[in-house]
Amino acid sequence: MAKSKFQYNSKTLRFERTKISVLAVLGSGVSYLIFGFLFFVGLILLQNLIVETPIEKKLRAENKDLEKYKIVLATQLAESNQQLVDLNNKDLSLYQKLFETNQPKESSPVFPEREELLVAGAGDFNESATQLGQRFSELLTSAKATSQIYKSSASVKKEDVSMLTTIPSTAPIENFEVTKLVSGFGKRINPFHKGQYHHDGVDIASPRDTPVLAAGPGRVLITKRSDLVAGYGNFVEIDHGHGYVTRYGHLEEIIVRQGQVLKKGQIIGSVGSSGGSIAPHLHYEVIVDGKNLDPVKFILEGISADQYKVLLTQGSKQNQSLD
Amino acid sequence: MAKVQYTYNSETCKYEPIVISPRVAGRRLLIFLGISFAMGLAGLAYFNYKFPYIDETLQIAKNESLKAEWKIIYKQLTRTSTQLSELEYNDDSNYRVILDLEPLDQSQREAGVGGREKESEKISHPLIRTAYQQSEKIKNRLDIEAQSLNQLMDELIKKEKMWASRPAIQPISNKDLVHLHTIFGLRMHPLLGYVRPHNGLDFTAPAGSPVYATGDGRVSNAQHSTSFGNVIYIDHGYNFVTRYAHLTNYIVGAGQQVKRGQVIGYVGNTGLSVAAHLHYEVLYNNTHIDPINFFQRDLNNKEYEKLIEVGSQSAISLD
Repeated sequence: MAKSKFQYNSKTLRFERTKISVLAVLGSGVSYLIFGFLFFVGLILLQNLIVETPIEKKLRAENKDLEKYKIVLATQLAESNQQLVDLNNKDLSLYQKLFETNQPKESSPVFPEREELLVAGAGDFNESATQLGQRFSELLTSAKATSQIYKSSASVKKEDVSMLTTIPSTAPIENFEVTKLVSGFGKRINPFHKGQYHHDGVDIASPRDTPVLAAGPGRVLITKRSDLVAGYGNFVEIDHGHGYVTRYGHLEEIIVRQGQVLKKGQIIGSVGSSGGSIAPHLHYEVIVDGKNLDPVKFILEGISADQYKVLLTQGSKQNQSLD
Repeated sequence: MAKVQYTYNSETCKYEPIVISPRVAGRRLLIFLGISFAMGLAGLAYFNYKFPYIDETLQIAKNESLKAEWKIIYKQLTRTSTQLSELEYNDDSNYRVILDLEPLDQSQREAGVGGREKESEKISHPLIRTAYQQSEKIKNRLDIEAQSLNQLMDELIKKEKMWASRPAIQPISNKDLVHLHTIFGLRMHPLLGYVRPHNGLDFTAPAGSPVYATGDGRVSNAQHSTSFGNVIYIDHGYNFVTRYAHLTNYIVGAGQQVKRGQVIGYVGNTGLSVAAHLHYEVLYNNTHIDPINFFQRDLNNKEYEKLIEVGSQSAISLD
């Protein structure tokens, strides 16, 4: 058994038994806890330092790779994107050289995409709503006007129906896409002398041997084969009646003969580069009562309103024709 | 200062100060540390039992943030790839169609990827490997597309040269032109008095009116002949040759390069000619063809002036 402890009290001049104070007990308890905690922390650090669990090992390796290749790939990406920018510039200069135009390639959409609208701010949304509202009232007005016209001409004459069914209305090549219309009707740049001249038709770029189709039912007026490296080259003219004639120039092959009766969409030949042409394409003209009209107005079937809008933009670019 | 502790020695009947020997002190310290250590150990055991391993937690957190960054890399890769695809599509379906070249097929566009694949084999992590392979593929496609665009540009430059060489304008300006005789083929010769082929077109214009080269080319001959008088032959290459006859004089010599719109001589009445005019011929593969096909008659004067200017500018810069 531990011996009792005494302290000398200088006031009473006596030795007094030392009382075990609460504070002292608490103090020693706290010091145990502190040291215990320090040991705990030390042990944990030691454990982390020495012990490596399989999961940790795997993760560590993975993270190391992720980190290392993140830099590698980010560098590669930056390089690739830089190269892509260069290529885009090259592409643009090629385009501008090819079509003798400084106009940008794509026209921005009139209305934002739905996704863009969803994330758009209130301002953008309001603007789009106003645009849509305007568009709606425009459509309403034009619809009213159209219905007026229909009312006033309720009886459709038989010959009108026959005209509507015979005038050229489809695209004159197989697998037509609006982007293939590379040069439109009107003032264009001649690819040979680079001067402005009147382009009497539209140029539809397409690989050689693409089937060329009759844009409407009719009778073959002329088929001409020419080795001359100028003019229409091998071409076909179709008479659709009612004063409508279509002309298909620079053909590779002609598979119809003069006087042959054609159905709409029947193959008449194939795309080529005969005559005065710089590239394989179809030069398509629509002639009404001896006058050349813009053929874009006669490419109607199988084209959505949006695509038609693109077609109009494509056709109105003041660029170089393929002649 | 702590008060000195005493203990009562019953043998000496005295209070004696407690002297703690180093041994005792050491033992006490050891006990203290031992207990503390045991407590720490207990704490560690409890912690390990109750909480995940710290290093694992840290690595998991790091892993997650890294993977989030990788998601962005993936997105960027996809975006780059999409943009590249657009470029490739343009190349194949627009330029190659117009420049009359075969589109590159998929195997050509992806050629060479196999060679670099070995590098990616070393990467075990599927996420990284996929991204790495994608990036390599993009790099390859970019290289091929760059080559392709270069090829297209070369081809276009070649074709531009060809187009520039093609006879495509009137050799006489409309403002000088008095009359264009569009007779090509057999006709009665005004001086010889018998029918013989007329292999060109006649442009009546005042003597001394400038005569322009109708396309880029090389003067192959500039001479005097009895029938043609002073005549210039221009070889345009690509099987095209043009001839300009009855000139008063010519200002270019054989071997000289000329540009379209460049003045080469002046209208005259030399050789077998009854009045000042230019006799203009176009030959393709050594066969005469009607020159009427090689200029636009509806081209207005302003446009024509512009075309002439191009030729005169080049003529100056060539000197």
